[in-house]
Amino acid sequence: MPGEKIYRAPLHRRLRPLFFLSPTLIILLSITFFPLLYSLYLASHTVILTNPMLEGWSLQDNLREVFLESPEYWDSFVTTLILVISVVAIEFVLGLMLAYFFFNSFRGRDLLFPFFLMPMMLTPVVVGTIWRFLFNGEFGLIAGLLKALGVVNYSILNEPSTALIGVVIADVWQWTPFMLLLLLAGMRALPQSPFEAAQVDGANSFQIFRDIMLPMMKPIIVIALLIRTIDAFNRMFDIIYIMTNGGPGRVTETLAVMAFRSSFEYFFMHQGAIIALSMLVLITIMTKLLSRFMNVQKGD
Amino acid sequence: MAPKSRAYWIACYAILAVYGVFTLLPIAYLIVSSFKTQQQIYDGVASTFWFTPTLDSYRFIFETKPILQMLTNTAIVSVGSTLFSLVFGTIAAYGLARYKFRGRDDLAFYILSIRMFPPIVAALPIFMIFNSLDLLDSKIGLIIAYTSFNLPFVVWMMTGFIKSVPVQLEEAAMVDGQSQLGAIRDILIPVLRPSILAVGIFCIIFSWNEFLFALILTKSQAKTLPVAIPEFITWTEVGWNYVAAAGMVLVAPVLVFSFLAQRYMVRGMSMGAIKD
Repeated sequence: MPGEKIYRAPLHRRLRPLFFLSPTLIILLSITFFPLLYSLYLASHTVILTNPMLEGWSLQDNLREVFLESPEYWDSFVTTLILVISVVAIEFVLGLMLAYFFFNSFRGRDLLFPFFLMPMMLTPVVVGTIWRFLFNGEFGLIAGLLKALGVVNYSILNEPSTALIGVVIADVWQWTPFMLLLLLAGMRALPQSPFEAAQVDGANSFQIFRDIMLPMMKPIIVIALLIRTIDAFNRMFDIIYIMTNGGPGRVTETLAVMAFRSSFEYFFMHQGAIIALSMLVLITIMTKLLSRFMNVQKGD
Repeated sequence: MAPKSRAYWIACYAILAVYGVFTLLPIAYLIVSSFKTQQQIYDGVASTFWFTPTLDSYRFIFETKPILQMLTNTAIVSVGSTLFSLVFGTIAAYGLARYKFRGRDDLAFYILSIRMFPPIVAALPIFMIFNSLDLLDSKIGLIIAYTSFNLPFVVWMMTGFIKSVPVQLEEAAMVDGQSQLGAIRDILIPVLRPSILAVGIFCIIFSWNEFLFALILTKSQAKTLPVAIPEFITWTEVGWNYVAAAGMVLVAPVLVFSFLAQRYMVRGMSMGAIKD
């Protein structure tokens, strides 16, 4: 309101939160903002580690190189999309099912629970090696079982048609427990009364699950999907690096792996920087869309 | 809950059994393989779990690689980065939770969004910057790099936890003559101890398991154990028992630790997630 006098706290009081926040802000700015600026520098110049003479402005050339001159970027883009969508979908369905079983309890539940959570604690690199060797055609356990079924020396990870499936299985194995944990926590936080009312009205378990439990869990479901989508997009590097290093050919080379290989195998830092920055743009768009969706949900 | 049909229980136990085997078999495979000789690895499916255990693989990896040094590096970097992030992150969370100021929600979102950075985006320029600052292959450098994902996590979680503690507790202490910092130290921090513990446990596990930064930023002196794991894999893939042994050395502390701390972690996780 113009003319109306508003109370304003004295300056030293208004600056108080800054006092608490400034160390963190300084640290975060220096380890994210400066690197980001430097990334922009890398992306717009020719920076080849093995050939330091070649420096100069070349943004347009770099962009053309990565996005237009070869289909590699778009292949990796599609690979990343397929991987993220399939692992998040499978982990969600499995996690929801398991969470429902654990929520309703069964004999031995508390004994089993910590074991079911174990995979998410393990180092992803170790998870990658375990599955790499499980899938190994010569001595791996899975290959051994396939052999018993009459398939000889089949290495899932060495075949272009099945390598991606191998990676999906390893990721699902590691991160389904995370979905289980979040969704179970969500189920336990639900109020009891709607369930009792529905039971009095004679609804069966499946109707209660579909019409009462799932709608009430919408916020936690959106959060769980959001976290897993972001993590799958960003961090699907370790297990691929170990299991296939992007191969065979390039069928499992996600954007993160491609950015790493461009920079540290071919030493084209500028290409790596452009690919990495494109990931940042994509993840920003994705989170914006998903959080808008989340707000719409809150609004109903 | 409504009573369940017979079909439900059959499905429940069948799915749990199948999933249980799926989840436990790879871990069991890792454990047994680490106690085998190279020859025993090739013995076939029937002897996967039936063999004479030996410590040869462990002896070999400790003799050929500085496993102990890498393990120490991993521990120092994890604990260092966690303590650093906990101190500054909790202070910042206090500012976000206890004050209203213009742009607060934007600031909170900015801090959270750093956690959503693809690590590779930060890793490339940090490599170049550390290269010119002579911080490559140093534990300090790695601690700084790990803070980039631990600090936002601490701020995000602790803001929620501090908001859930009634501000009246601190105000009462301040009315009684305590300074603000005194009230934080004597009243707020003791109440928050379990939450701080839970958040710290997560930070330690994130750092312990981290691979990409360690791969790019270390060479020998500051090398952590996760980076050494792939080195045991040769192109002929014969080293599985060694990889398994090194993997066990890396994974066993986390597994033991997480079993002991499970109660805290589940609570910390669900509280943080349920909040807004």
